[in-house]
Amino acid sequence: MVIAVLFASTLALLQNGLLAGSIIFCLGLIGALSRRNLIVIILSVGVMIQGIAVNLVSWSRYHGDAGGSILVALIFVTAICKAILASVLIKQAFVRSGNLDSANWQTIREATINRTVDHEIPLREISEDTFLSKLIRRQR
Amino acid sequence: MIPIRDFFYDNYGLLSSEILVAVTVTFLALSLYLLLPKRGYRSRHFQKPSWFLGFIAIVIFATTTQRLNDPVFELLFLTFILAAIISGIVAITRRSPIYAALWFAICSVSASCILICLGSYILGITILIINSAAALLTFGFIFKLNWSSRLSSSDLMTNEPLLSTVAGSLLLGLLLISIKQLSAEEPICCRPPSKATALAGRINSKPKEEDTHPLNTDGFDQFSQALSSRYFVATGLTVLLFLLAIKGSTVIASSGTEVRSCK
Repeated sequence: MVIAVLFASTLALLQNGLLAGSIIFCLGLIGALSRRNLIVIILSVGVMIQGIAVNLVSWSRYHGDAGGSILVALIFVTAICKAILASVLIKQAFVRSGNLDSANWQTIREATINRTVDHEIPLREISEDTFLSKLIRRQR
Repeated sequence: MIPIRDFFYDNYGLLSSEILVAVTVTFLALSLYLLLPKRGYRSRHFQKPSWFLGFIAIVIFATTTQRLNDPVFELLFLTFILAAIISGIVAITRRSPIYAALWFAICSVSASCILICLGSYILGITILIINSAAALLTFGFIFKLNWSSRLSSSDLMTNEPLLSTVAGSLLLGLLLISIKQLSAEEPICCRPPSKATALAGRINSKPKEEDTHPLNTDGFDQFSQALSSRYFVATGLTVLLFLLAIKGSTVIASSGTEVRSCK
């Protein structure tokens, strides 16, 4: 396989790697934009980072320079930092609000901005004592 | 699959790469929109058509990839790419976070295998190990927080699935068209001299015995030297950021404990 990698056309490898990385990145972007569960949002950001890594390593391979690989290594260390902080923040949000809905984070808005709920939550899923049910009742 | 592309290119010149990109992105966007959970339910009637559209998009994407010299390596590379894309699609469309984490782990493993195929052996294996540990921690985290048989409201709905899908698909289309421009052969006189030229010369020549060693191919020596010299400041800053993240998470976690004890 090593010889196959050496003999493979660098331009073809670059293009295939860039295509794959772009698709993976955009999949993660769609997930991060659309999903409401905080854990799934963090996972979607992880998918985006995988796409960036594939892109950078493709360019690194094309130019024969280790710069892209080093940048990927540093990005992954930063991603670990992101995961550590996100885990603690998600746990705090769950302790305070009782669920993992990103709509709960609307409380960190400035006081001058009105609170809005993106979509109406199905009432059958909400117990009476959650933060979100109080918020919906207040909206009504 | 690839001879289909050549057949259409030779016989029907209308199928340009831009049209194929547009068709791929449209089908992928439709599939994603239908698969995303909306309004608290997911109709089973839409699952088969959405997966069929996604399958068509993936097949068209596979036909537009560039041909590599070694067919076995090409098949392996394409398999890992398709595994990463499919597991990525499932990871962002599954309603249950536990299954999303499982498919994310598969996506990470596939992406690491792509890196290994691209020649970054050390980096690919390292990321594989890191992602395996991250997936295990995510499983534990989800189980600790909200694992139950019933899905919560945040799992059943999405924020503006149509707009999100359109935005992501537009970006994907622009990226794919830009990448396709790379495949256009530039005249040799206009190419800037780069390290790729030297690498191409190395590829055309027979590799030496030491070149076939994985560590040399990965540029392990080059990697470690650059990390300790040229990128020393960046490495130090990243380590500092890591330590700050650990300290910050400890502080946030302890402040949450104080809040609970006050209550």
